[in-house]
Amino acid sequence: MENDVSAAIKAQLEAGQSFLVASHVRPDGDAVGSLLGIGLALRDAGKHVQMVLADGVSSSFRHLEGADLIKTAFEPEFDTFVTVDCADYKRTGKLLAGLRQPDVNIDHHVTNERFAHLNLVEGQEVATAAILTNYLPAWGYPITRPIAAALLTGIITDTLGFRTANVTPEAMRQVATLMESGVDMPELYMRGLVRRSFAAARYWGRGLGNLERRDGIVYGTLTLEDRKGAAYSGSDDADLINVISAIDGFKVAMIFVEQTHQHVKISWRALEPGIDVSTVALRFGGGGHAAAAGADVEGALDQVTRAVIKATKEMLRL
Amino acid sequence: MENAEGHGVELFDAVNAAIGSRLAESRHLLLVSHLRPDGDAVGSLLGLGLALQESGRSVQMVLADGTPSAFGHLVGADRISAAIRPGFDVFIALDCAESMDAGNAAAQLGPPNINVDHHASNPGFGTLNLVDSSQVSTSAVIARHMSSWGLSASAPVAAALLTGIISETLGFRTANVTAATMRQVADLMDQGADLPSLYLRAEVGIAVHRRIRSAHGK
Repeated sequence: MENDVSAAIKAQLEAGQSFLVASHVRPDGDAVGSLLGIGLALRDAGKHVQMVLADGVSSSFRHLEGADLIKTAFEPEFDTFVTVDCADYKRTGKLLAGLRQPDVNIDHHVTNERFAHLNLVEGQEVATAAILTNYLPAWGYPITRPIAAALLTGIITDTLGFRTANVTPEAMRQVATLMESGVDMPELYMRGLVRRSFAAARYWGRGLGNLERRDGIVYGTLTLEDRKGAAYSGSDDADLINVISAIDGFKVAMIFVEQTHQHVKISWRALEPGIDVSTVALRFGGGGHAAAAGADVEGALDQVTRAVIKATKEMLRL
Repeated sequence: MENAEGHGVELFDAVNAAIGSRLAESRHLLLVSHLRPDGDAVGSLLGLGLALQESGRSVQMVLADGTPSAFGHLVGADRISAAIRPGFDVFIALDCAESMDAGNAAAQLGPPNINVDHHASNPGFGTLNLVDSSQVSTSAVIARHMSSWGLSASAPVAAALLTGIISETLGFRTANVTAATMRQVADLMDQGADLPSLYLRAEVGIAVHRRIRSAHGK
């Protein structure tokens, strides 16, 4: 079945001349890495390619070659529409709302809604960038050094530096192969996963200052006020969830990030094996993996927090 | 011996052959690593120690400062002692960089028969010196060369060696991590080392205190 999908995608990419390639809002390393991976590969093959991220590229990934080609707007003329790392279509953001159905959807989230004509969804892969690492050469697109750097960044960030439970020997060998194209993996690791701006660290401080715990859940909150106070330019959590996930003695870590227009972005991390946080994320219109999931919920921060904590507690009692 | 940066295994053929025959004729071995042991001290000691035990030899594994509780989950950690007993025919120092910084008792034994390390600064204080500075850790040196000594990596051996690599590279992020390192990690995983669980328990980054406490079962 996947061979059929792969062959159909290969043909579709071959036939296309003008591409729109998009990934999700608040883009992480896998969104940027998989977008650049396929976008640069298509450009190298002589195609016209528009790479789009509704929220643009955060400073953690601007060092990647080709990142300056990613735009926050697009021209309506394209014949082939591809999404990468989007579990559902609305993850592409308001910018792309109402566009026609995508032709190709490449993703590694088990909750993927298979919203495109051709859906290549491999939930066992550590990152969408890992799927592209496997398939790009088979589709006839060589993995050049800039493409390898982008794909490696996706794998490094989605595995939190090769530490998530889904990391296999095959994934490590894939990393080795990408490194052999000449990229400096430790440098990509430092830039993508470790180095953070002064503003991001101050923003963390605000979130850590109001940590709460309740029935096996540890969670922090970042308000619009916190963002302004720290002069943090992103609308995400600056990966504070990874710091909260290191706190001992809890089953689930969470972060609530207040957004403009009465929205709250929520991330869950399972801290013990056997807990599937994607189920509760799905209940709130989000998705993700057993160990890491997210959702964007409409409503006031305190109301959303109450409702989501209640649902998460219910999930834990199952 | 010259530093091995960028050179292949063949550079070590002579010393590996000598180490192999020294180990082949050994029955009772003393293995030590350095004071204030880190993950690589424990990992290289357990990795080589368990592999030698599995090949039927009697092995004393010694850390003068004892085993940090953070590594209590590794198979064989309870077999590491803080004191040296007499009665060994081969003495091996592991991951002891500048000189024999393995404690007074070990220092009084004189030069070790075998000195295995990855620090370029290692002066070669043993009779046989395998100092492979192309490797990220002493446990990686052992993983790379042990098959030429006739030893194989069981799951507990692989777990110990992988722990040494994880902690010495701060979780694969130091500048010396190469594609060959990642392939070596993949091989150790194939031999039964559970990378994600070992990573969680290794002393990496901000999670140190959490891991030490979970190793105590709290």
